[in-house]
Amino acid sequence: MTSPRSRQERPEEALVGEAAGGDAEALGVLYDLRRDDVARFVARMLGADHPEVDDIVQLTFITAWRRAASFRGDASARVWLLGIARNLVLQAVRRRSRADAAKARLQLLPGQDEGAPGAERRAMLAAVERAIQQLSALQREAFVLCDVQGLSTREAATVAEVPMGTLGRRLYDARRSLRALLREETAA
Amino acid sequence: MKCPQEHLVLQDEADEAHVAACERCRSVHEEWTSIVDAARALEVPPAPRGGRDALVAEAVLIGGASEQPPGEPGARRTSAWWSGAISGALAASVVAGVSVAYRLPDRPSNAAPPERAAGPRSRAGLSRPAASALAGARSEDVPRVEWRDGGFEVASTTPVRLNFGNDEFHLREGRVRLGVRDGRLDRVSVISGEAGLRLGGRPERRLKASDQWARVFDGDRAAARPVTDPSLAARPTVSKQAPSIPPFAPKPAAVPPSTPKRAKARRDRSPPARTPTPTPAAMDHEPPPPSVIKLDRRWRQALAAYREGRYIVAARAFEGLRDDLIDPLRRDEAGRRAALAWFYAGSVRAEPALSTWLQTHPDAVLRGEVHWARGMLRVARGDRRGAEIDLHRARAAAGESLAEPLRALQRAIEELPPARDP
Repeated sequence: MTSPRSRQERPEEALVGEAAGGDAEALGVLYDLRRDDVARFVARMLGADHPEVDDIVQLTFITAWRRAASFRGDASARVWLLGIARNLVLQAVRRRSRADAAKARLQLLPGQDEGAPGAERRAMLAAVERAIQQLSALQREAFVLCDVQGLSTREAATVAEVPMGTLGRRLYDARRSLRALLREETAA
Repeated sequence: MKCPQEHLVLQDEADEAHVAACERCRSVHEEWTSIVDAARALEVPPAPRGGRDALVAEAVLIGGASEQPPGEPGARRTSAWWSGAISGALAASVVAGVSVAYRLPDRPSNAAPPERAAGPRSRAGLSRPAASALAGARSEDVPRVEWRDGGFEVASTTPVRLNFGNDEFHLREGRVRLGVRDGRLDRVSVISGEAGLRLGGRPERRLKASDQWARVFDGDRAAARPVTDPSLAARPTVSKQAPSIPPFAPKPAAVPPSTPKRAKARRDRSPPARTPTPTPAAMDHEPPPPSVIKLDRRWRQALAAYREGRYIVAARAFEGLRDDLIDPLRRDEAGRRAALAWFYAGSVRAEPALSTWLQTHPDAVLRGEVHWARGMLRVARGDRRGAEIDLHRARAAAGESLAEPLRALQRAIEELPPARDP
């Protein structure tokens, strides 16, 4: 039997193949390896305090399990998982009402205290979080995939299911918008 | 003249050289780098406790059959019934207390044993508490039964027998609406499928889709024996028929119609039920029927075991609950996930899951049940105020249909210390 350690060292694509063969523990290892990646993407897309973050992360892996047999290996397992997460996030975004989104934008991150040590850093993080949430969904997706997750433009375009040029344009717009939003906030 | 470029990201050596030489671009680039660093440093939500176990268990139970290549004919069925089994037990735990007097179908002792999950589950080499506790359960065993005003609706894909005193109603497959008056079957409307009706041991009358029957036009009121126990009479016993038995074959007279063999065997094996000491609140009203007491006890056992981390005991208690319940959340993915979260990850994760369900199902008929479930979770963690809110909302949403479970919740709340003002 393959030990958990050796499984951790196997290519993730092989783990998907084992999952397709019905090995649930392979899915567990994939979860160990990629859970934070998926959670980071979902949290940045929806906001860290969105109540569905955990469920969407879990559902991403369940969906991967269900579709493992259809994984062709054209993209990396990471890109494939992020593509699944992206579709689930879009469904959640559609569910979320505009009022909820506005409310989420106005919320400060917990623990913010202007007078405490490191407060400036925390304020910066909070401002960035808020600014990311104010981007349009498509710009946010491009920014999170390329700049936060570190995917190449080609990989991000695969996840977003758009041509590379389109993705590049969205990324450019996202960066400009983000800077502008943060400058506005700083000025305010 | 200002440089027109804004080098947010350096793509190549030419960009790097330009930024090194251009003060404005260097400033823009540094600013951008700090933004990206901050974005990457943002908190990643921590993995929920038990999240991995829940995932693997759910995968095992799902079986991954939806994408199985052709040639594995058992895969889909295996997947379906394990998924159903877990969702049945877990969702039942969420809606424990609903429809407490139902008898879910028992597989007759002469029926073939169910197919056991093979393939994906066995290859996974996992021994999960839920899997052991639910061994032998089949989702197909559970017909869907919903209470309506003055009657109920039954849907099943397999033959089901319902007993009303000495009257029997057979649903071969499909959906029917049944009206009950004074504890007796009063009217039948077959929406789809086929059914059969035997009144007081008389020959069976077959009914097909769109057929209707009403006792008032039948002229055989005297044939139906009055039922003496109103608490049971108003709610039929439901038992599943073995597929090998012809659906409308007359049943041997020696077998009591309302006592499925497997249920009787289980009762015989079970230790004698202890009668709980009534609390002052419970003494204010009529004592609940035995089935409610049993359910309440099982629920408390499951909850206590869960709180103590004895998951296998909790799973078995949930399994016991399943025998007495229908699970209207069964077909609801969000509800199933909430139940699964509760089972594996505790109230820390289940409570937000139920809250999310409430947010995303503003018009669902099950809101009362879910408020009740969340209230029980809040009781488990000592949140009296939160539990009271759920009690109130469950009453508003469900009214009398949840009267007994809500009384149980009320009693549980009363056992908590008073809430302090913030």
